[in-house]
Amino acid sequence: MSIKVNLKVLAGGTSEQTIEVEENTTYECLLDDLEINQETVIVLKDGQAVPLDGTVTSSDLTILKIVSGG
Amino acid sequence: MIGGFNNEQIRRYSRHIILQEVGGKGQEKLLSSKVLCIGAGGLGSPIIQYLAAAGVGTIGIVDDDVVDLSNLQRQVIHGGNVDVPKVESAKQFVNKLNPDVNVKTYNHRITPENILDIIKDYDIVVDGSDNFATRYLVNDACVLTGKPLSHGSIFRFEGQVTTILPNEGPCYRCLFEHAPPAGMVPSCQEAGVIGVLPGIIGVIQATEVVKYLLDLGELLVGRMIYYDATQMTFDEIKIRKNPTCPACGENPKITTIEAENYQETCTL
Repeated sequence: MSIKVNLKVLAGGTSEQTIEVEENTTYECLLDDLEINQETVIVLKDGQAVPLDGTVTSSDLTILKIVSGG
Repeated sequence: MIGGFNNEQIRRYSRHIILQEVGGKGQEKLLSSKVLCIGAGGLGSPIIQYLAAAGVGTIGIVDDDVVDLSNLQRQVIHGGNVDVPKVESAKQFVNKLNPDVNVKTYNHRITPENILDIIKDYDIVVDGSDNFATRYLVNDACVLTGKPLSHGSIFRFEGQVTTILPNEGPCYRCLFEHAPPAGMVPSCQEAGVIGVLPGIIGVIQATEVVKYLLDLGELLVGRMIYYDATQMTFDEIKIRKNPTCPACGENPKITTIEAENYQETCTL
């Protein structure tokens, strides 16, 4: 069974997409599939960063890059 | 003299004074306020420029760098001052722009050893630094002392900005608990930055500071703006306090400023 996820990626630009992932997919795997380095982003669900070893549930997610330039 | 203002001040601040939301009392508040700017670079330039123009009475500026020719593509207050310490260059700029402003310069890095002593004299801190170690240090010191903080950061064509009111909303670590490993995220020096970008983000930070000082409107507390210059879009991201945040969570691990936590890679 697959899960539908509405994804907003704010990392090196802005993009939005709806994807389907397999049940029990972790956020780490999701980032791997998207070819996003997990060391450089956080995944936000309802305004909070989720542990990347957690499993994706049907929801709206935001992937946000960490940047330090000033 | 009318009220607390001389004739020149009435003319200088007339567009503020006629705003019902600011008025003479608001302008007096600004003139008696103290703001600390961490960094006088890309973000620091517009922050310092607009806070000085607004008549913020005391502006502290921390930076240990000197002006380089490569800075002038975006650091708009340092023209003609190559090789001059940035804090001195910034002070010269402010003195020309608005003699009402007292500039206090700190020509050194902000460190775990000096940060608490420096920030204690200010009403609000604005972070325009350019490295993770300083960003986490500034966040943690502000959380520990309950000092309001405007956070802004930029990279290539994108920028992020939020306002942190300790005890009221989430802090930087609620969002980004740890710094990425060293070398994982390139700096603007390594990856480049479009010159106008810090103008946008820095002016939003200055706006937040003025609003905070005037107790005006809704601050970016619990919200982050993500700006994408290529698409010209502003996305608002809701952010919530993290109960397990090491700085402001229910059982914080960070209860003092310890130097070993703020190396280049940030161990916490």
